[in-house]
Amino acid sequence: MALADSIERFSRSSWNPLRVTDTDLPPQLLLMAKVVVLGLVLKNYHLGFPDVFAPFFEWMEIFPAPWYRRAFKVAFIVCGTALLFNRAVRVNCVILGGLFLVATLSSKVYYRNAKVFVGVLLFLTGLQEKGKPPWMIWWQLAIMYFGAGLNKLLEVDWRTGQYFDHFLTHIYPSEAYRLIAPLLPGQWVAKLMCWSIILAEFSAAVMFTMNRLRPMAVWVGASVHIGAALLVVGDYGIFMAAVLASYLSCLPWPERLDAATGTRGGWQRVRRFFGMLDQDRLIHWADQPPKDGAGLTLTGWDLRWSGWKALGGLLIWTPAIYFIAVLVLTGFDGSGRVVVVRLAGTVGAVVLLGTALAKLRTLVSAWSARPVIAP
Amino acid sequence: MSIRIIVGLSVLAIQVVMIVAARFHPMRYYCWAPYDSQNEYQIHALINGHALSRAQVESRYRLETPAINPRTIYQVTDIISYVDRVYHEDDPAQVTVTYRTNGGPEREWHWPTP
Repeated sequence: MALADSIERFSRSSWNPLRVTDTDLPPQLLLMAKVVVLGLVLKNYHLGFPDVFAPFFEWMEIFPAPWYRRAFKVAFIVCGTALLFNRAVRVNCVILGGLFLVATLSSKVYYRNAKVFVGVLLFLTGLQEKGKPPWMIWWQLAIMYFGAGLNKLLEVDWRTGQYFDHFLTHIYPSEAYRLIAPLLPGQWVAKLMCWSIILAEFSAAVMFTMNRLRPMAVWVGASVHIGAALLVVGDYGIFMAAVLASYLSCLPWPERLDAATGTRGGWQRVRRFFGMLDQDRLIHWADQPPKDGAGLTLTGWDLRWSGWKALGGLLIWTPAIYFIAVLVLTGFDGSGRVVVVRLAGTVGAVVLLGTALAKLRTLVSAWSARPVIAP
Repeated sequence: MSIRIIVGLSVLAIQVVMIVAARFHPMRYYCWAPYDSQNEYQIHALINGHALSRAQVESRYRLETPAINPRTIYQVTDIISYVDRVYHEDDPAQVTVTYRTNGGPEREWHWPTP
């Protein structure tokens, strides 16, 4: 029965790579997997698989070069292409993730945390059960941040600030740090940077395990990564794109959204733009403008957003936007990459600041509107 | 519990084990410690009293030298010891790795280990 269901779904799923619905995976997880695979290709990870060299297990020496790495490359291209075209998505995610996990085991020279992260992320995505929340990916993120926080906490150079002081003075000389560091005595600026990262990573680890605090975990995690990107003007290989994509696992995905636009030309262009990008036909556009005169409204799960928030919703729930983002984030080399990282980091920082301020405003409004008991 | 859950939990559990193991061992594999230390190192290798050139060292160990390892110096020394132990039993090298972690004092690691 399950096999028949899988075959039926295999033939029913769309071949359109921009679509993420009607497969065995929740839409947001399939989108995440596709974005990661696309990023890997754009960063040429599919060309970098290793032959066995200084593996973790000596018996792996039996695998002959260059056939070993060629097999990995072929498997990646076949499974990656199949995944992009919505074929056997879960199996392909398991294989793609397995390729990176086995490749890191094959060579300690090849080993990088970014490759391990991509491996476990895709592997666990492939194990996702239908109709269940992706708790294994949430726990993966929690374990990653916990491990990172714990290791830093136990490193004396992180506790004293020596790590950042040396890093920003000698390894990656930072003009901003040179100006800020003398404001406090000793290595206090570096120390504050170190401890803020340690605390952020531990907080994210805890919050990723709690449903109510998961959005805040995403905010904290994104702050750490965007801060790191801006600090060194780097994207850490595929890591930055992959970890940001992994946050899609925390995004609820609607079955249907209803949108309406005003009659002004600008809003009509918004409608045409998102209508073109929305290949899953998730958004249903009303023929009539919103009754309250708003330029744009979006409704889903009995919630209604208007104006900029509605536009934000359209951006968040349009898969094509993520494909464009990953093309921009990972498709450049050299000085182009520097510009993109700076620009994307700045946009990210503005978005994070905006969401924090919006949340603060909501809290302040709620506090002001509280019932006051007369003396 | 389905087989998928068991496999997934195993993947997560292995990482927890590696995080704990990293408290008792200098390795930092599979325990999420990226960019936690900056190790500036240089590899010197001698075979039968002759020093290998930089290119020869890089070809033999597939490691750049001098370079910076942003994880742990153990990754460098682990590769060198594996390569000489497994691939070059017949032409063993005497290797010295000089390194500084986070700008700290210069240290040395030797192969074969004394």
